[in-house]
Amino acid sequence: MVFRKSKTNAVFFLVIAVSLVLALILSSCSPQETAISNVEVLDGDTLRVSGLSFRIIGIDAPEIHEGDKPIGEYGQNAKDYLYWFASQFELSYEQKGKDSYGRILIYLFGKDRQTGVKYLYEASVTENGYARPLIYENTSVPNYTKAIVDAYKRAYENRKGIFSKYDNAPVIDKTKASQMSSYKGKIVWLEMDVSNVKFSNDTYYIYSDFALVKIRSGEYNNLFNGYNLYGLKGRKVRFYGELWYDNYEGKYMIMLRAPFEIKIVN
Amino acid sequence: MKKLLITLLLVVSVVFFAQNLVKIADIYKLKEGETVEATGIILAPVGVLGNLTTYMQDETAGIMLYGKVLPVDLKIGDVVKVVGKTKVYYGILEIIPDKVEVIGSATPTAVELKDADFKKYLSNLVVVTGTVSSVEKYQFKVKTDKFEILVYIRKEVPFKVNTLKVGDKVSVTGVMYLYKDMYEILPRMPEDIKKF
Repeated sequence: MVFRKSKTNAVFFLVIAVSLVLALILSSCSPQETAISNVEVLDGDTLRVSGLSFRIIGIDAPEIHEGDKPIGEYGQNAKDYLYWFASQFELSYEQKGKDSYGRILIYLFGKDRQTGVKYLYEASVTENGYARPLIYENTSVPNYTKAIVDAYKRAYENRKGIFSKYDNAPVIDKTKASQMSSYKGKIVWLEMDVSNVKFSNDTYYIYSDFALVKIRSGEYNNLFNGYNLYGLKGRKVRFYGELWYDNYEGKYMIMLRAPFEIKIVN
Repeated sequence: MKKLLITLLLVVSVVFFAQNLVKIADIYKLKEGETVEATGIILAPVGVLGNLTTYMQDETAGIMLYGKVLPVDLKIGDVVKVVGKTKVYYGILEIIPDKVEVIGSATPTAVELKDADFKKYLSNLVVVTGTVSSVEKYQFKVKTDKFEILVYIRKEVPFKVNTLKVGDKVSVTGVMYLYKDMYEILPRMPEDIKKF
C-alpha cells in the first residue's frame, strides 16, 4: 500500500497528543477486537481489507465521489488522514454488525507501537474537522459516542477543517435560490425564514419555502442537549453545513449535527 | 415650597412605576395596547403551543406571550420579567414583549378545574381529572360530573391520541386556550396526560 507523505503530519501529531486522555480511557475497553493490516483506504470513513468493505461508524466523512451525496469539502483531507492513521498505528477494530450494503460496521483503533497508547480513529478524524458525527443508537457505544461528540465540539472551538469556514462561509438565502446548484457540496450558512418544524421518522425537519434542514435523532439526542427546535418557527435563522440536494423534497438541504451550527438572525 | 414639589414629584413617579409592574389578573382590566411590566412563571417551551408563543402565570392569572424577543431556550419554570404592550389575539390577551429577562426559577402549579368557568383560567396551567368521552385523531374530550372539555394535541407534542379509548380515567394538564369561541386544553408534553 502507498502512503502519501503529508506536510501536515506534525499538526496531526499534535491533535493526536491532545487526544491522549481519551486514548487512556479507551485503552481499557473492547474485548472483541480484531487486528487488521494491508488495508486499502477508499475514503475518510471506508476501508477495504481482503476484498471486504469496512464502514467506520459514528462519523460521516465528506464524499470524494459523487453519489447520493455530492462531493464535499475536506473529503480528500479525510482520506489522507486515514492513510496517515493506518500507516502510523497498529490497526484493530470492533465490529458492530453489517449494513444493508453488506459492509462490515466497525469502530477503528490505532495503537502506537512505541507507547502502546490506543486511539479511536473516529474521534481523531473528527477532532481534525474532517468528519461529522453520524450516530445510530443500535451501534452506538456510549464511550466512543462521547469521544466523537467531544471531538466535534473541539473541532468547532478550534475552527478546524470544516469549521475553518465558520466565520466567513457564504450566506445563501432565498435571493440566491437560483444559484444554489453552484454551492452543492460546499460549506455554507443557509439563511431561511423557518416556516415549520416537525418531527417524523426519527428526524427533525426544519422547513422554509426554498430549503430545509434535517437533524437525525442520533445527533439530536447526543449533541443538542434538549435544544428547543420548535422555538425556531417564525424566525430568520442561519444553519451551517454542507449543502445537499434532497430529491424527495425537491429542495436544497443541510444535515445539521450540532447546536453551534445554528445562528438566530432575528 | 420647593421641597413639597420634589416630594410630590417623587410620589407621582413612584406611583407611576408601581402601576406599571402589575399582577397578571390586573393586566386584563387595562386597555389593549397598554405597556405593562409583569413577572410570571413560564408554562411551555417557546413554539410548542404556537409559533413564537409561550405562556406565563403568577398567583393571580396566566397570559400569552408572543414575539421574536422570546428566547428560544426559555424553559418551563423560568421566572421571567417582561415589559411590553398588550394585544388581543383572537380573543386571547397577549403581551408582545420588548424585553424578557429570566430572573429565577419556580415550579408552575396547575389549577384544578372544578366547574365550567373556563374563562377565568384562560392562558393558565390547568389540570382536569375525568373520563375520556370521545377520541379523534388529534383531540379527545374529558368529562367530569360538572362539565366536558376538549383536549387538543398539537403536532409538536409526541402523544398518540389513539392510545386512549372512551371510558379511560385520565388526568390532563395543559394551558387553557381559546379556539373559535371554544375553550380547550393544550398539553405541552406526553407526560401531561396520565392514564389511571
